[in-house]
Amino acid sequence: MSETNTKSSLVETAEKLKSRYAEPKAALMPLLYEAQARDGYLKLETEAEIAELLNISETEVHESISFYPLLFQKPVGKYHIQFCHNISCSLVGAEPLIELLEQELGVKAGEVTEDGLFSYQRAECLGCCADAPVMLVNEELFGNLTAEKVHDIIEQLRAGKKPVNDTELTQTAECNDPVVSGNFLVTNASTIKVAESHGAYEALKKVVKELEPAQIIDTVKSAGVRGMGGAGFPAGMKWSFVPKGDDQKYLCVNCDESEPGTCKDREIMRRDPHRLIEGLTIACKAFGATRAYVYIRREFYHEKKVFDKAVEEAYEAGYLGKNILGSDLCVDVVTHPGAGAYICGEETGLINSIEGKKGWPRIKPPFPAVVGLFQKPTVVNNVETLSNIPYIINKGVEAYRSRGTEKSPGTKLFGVSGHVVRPGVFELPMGFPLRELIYGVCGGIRDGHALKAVIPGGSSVPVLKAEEIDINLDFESIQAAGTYLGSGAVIVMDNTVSMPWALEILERFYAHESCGQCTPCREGVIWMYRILKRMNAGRGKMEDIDLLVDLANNIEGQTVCPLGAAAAWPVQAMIKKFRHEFEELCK
Amino acid sequence: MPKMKIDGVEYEFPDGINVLQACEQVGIHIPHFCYHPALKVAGSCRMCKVEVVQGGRKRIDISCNVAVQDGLEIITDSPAILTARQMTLEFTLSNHPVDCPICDKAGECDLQDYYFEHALHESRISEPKRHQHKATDIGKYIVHDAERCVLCSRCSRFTEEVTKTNELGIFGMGANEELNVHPGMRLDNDYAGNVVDLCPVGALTDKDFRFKRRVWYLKSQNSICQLCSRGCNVRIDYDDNPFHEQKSGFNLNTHRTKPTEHARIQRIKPRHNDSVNGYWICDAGRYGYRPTDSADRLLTPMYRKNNGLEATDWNTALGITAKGILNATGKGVDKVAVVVSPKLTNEELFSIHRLFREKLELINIDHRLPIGEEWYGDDILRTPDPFPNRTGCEWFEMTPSGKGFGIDKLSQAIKDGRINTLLSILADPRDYLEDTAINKLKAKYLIARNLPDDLKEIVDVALPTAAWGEYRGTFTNFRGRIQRLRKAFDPLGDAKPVWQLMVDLSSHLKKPLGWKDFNDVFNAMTKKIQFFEDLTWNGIGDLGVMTVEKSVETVK
Repeated sequence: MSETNTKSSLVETAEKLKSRYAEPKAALMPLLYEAQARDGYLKLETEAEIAELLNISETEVHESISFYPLLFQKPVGKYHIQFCHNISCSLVGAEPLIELLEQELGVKAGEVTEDGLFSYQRAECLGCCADAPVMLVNEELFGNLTAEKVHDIIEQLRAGKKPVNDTELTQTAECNDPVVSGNFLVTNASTIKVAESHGAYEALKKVVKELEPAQIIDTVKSAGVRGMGGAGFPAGMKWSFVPKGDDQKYLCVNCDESEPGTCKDREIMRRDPHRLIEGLTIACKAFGATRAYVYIRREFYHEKKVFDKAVEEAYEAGYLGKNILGSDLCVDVVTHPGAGAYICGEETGLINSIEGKKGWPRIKPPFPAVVGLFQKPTVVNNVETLSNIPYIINKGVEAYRSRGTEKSPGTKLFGVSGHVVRPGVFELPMGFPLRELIYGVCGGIRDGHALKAVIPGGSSVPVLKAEEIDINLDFESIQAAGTYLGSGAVIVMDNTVSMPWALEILERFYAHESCGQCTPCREGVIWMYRILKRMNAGRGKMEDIDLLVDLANNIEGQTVCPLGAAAAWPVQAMIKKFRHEFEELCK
Repeated sequence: MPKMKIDGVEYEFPDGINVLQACEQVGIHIPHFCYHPALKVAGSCRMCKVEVVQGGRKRIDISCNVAVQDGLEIITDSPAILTARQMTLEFTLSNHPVDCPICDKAGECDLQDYYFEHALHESRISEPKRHQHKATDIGKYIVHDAERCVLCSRCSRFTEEVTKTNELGIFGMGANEELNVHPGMRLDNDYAGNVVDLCPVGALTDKDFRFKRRVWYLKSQNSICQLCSRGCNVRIDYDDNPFHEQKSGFNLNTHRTKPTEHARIQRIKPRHNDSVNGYWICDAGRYGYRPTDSADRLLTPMYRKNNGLEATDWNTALGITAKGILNATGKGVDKVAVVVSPKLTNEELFSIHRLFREKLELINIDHRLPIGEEWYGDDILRTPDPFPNRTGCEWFEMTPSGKGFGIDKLSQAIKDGRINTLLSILADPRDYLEDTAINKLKAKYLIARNLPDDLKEIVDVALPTAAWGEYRGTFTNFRGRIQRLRKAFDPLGDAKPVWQLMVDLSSHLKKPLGWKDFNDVFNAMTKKIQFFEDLTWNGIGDLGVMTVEKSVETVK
């Protein structure tokens, strides 16, 4: 399923792509990428060509092109650089590096160098926070950047050489009897042979032979697997909401990992894709889906390639496709690329995006379990959630529940970024103490500095002060402390960090990612960002502080989707806990 | 029939409506921008929030997306709701230019009204406002102002769901989003004008109305569109006070020329009628009002004298016409042809019927005018028949009787000398007669609203009649629905409704009809036609009545 073959005509590709979807228009995104690869960007006349091929209006095509940041309406350089300026990267010096990059290239964001060689855009979180600061050059990720590295990479590209990429592998911790990360450090575990030799597809074999759908759901329910994307909704219960019967059903796998600080699903995708394939196949059997769409954020070029290869292997080995392992189970997997919009991680935004529309979340009801993808019952599950399933089937509910807490059983992947000595992605039992994660697993705060604050579950969740970190990392304990476990992304900030500065970066992100559908989020979040920007520029007024809180309070809960609340919580918590810093700025 | 409480009072509602509609039904208006009953629910403006108590749990939800159901309790005026409303307005206004003094929508703008009713807050925004496209020409009739837009998407949903032409979309993302036409398109579909009505603010304005009048000077009268056989329900917005005209010299509306000193009709708006046109009208109907106030209006009776048409009084003009008709009839001879337009009202057709068919017993009467090629029907509202009252013509037997000649045989009959006198009512003889036939006619009488110069050369007598908006009456549409045209203002000059003309002419013909006013005609008419039995003017109401289901024929 190669995505870009610049030589073949769009007509041929369109036919091939259309067969992957129940509605032809869903082929829009991959077809746009095909055209973008052919022409370098998306010309207006191409919109007409594609609209005709998919039998949709040019307006709809143009809406998508103008919505998604990674669909280009004008030419980009031969090397297009996306430099992350989000919180995890900014904490470790992204901004000076961006300045350096601009000097090296002699262009501003959105511009192309005169020789047509380079263009760059500022990117929101690239999902590699433990390797911050990071940038993508076309499809290749460079991490742990320094001034020297940025300079060298540009020099080498200018000289027509392939730049040295010494991005270290994200650190991962050994975990006794790991649930999802067992193969992370196994060489070539993404290939089926190695994966099989480490137990891959054993659970699927068991499921196919021994378990009825209802038994799978019961097992997963008893195990108590929680949704690992952020909301923590029990997975088994989600599956049980799907109406029974022969109607077509879909599984959507959410690999749009974009909540700043979150970089865990990426590790599964690139290190152990077969675990996900096995998990999603079992899920499909559980609630009767015959097709899974895996929505992979565009910035995960490498991860998508690895995953696509793994899917191919799984088909060949009979773990996917018709009559899996000789049973009547049939599951097809289609990977679908995102295009740089955070909002597509919201489950109905994701569904709309697969359908070839802008990633505007849907109003509910109806809920996806009843009316989802292509108007059919649909479950949207996170990558990590599904990757928990094989372990539960193999080792049983008790083994799974032997760790974690009663309500948050099992283990969880935590991605730690920011000012710790050893950032990385670590599988730890649910309920692991936050202090021990920071000071034990991650080696403490970088030299000569002290801890100031921690955002414990991805950029949207309320911040904790240094003295509040004696809590356990499970859904309930952390909620009792007034914040959320979220996606398990722990962003650590030391005493050099200005909270109004950090908050401006977060709100810049949410303002940029607001899809624009509903009023409070579209107008309110940018308003908060602009106040913060003015404040940090020294032009704040004392009454701006209460205004910020009031705006946040009136965005939270008033929007179509949770992005509004995600933008509001950091404002509320930062001002509540570090008000003096804001006041200092406004004096 | 679900029973549920709204603000503490229990009501019963029909199934299938939403809470916003339910509140509306009991007289509680829930502010909203994006909801429109004829479009899919978008749920994006967040204005229509109410508190919903269900199963003991209270939540805030958008009333447009909650279906009425048994046991629901709705609170529309709690402090939480009032705050949510006020804040949504504050967000909506945070980048709005608040240029009400130069906005055509001022006075009928939802945003303006809601701010007045629900907010009245002082502005807390100190950031500069976002600047976007202003006063962009996006179509033949439509001007777009992106800064005023609240992104409710009603207009783009209209072009997607109703016209299916998809010219409009919301492009970009987040705070940089803009509603606009696709870069390669113009908003020129046959229903484009409706987006102006749909727009809750002044983002989409009508070139035809821009800067013409402040809306609070407008008076309104209900009427029926006369441009096709559907009979869309419309409202005539008019203002006959020239003092209100815009004096800056910026007025681009050039149609206002003498002899009508100023245009009275300012604009046409659709009236909601689910049995006829829903919420829409086509652009032909919306912008087809000009003839009423146009410069070629016939204002006085005229007659041919010394090779030209000269103004005269009613007595002279009707005298000549009556004499001409009498000369061509009687003693078994009938050389008069009466051609009537299906634009006439039932009352007018009835008066013609009574005078010419019953009293004078003329046989060469017809209404079947050729349909010009420029008109076409579609599957939204426009019917293939550009005449509003063909059904009335059929019911009043406006077709030749016995050996009478129809329009298709008229030219030949004239050339053969079997017809020598023509009375053409609201019909240009050149549309249905060959030139040689017109030249051969001994007498050509015309009842007209407008008399273009070239038509003056061929008629002998021209009798001015009231134009659309100047008289009342009824049309029967293609399905048999009887609907009222109400009088907005007096006829210009000496013009009279056709029924009045028939009354006057009948005296000259010594066959007096004996009606004093419209009511006399209407009452006599209801006795004549079985379909009008028991019909009263008030009984027809604003939405019309169906007395018989007419099988719909397609007119080619």
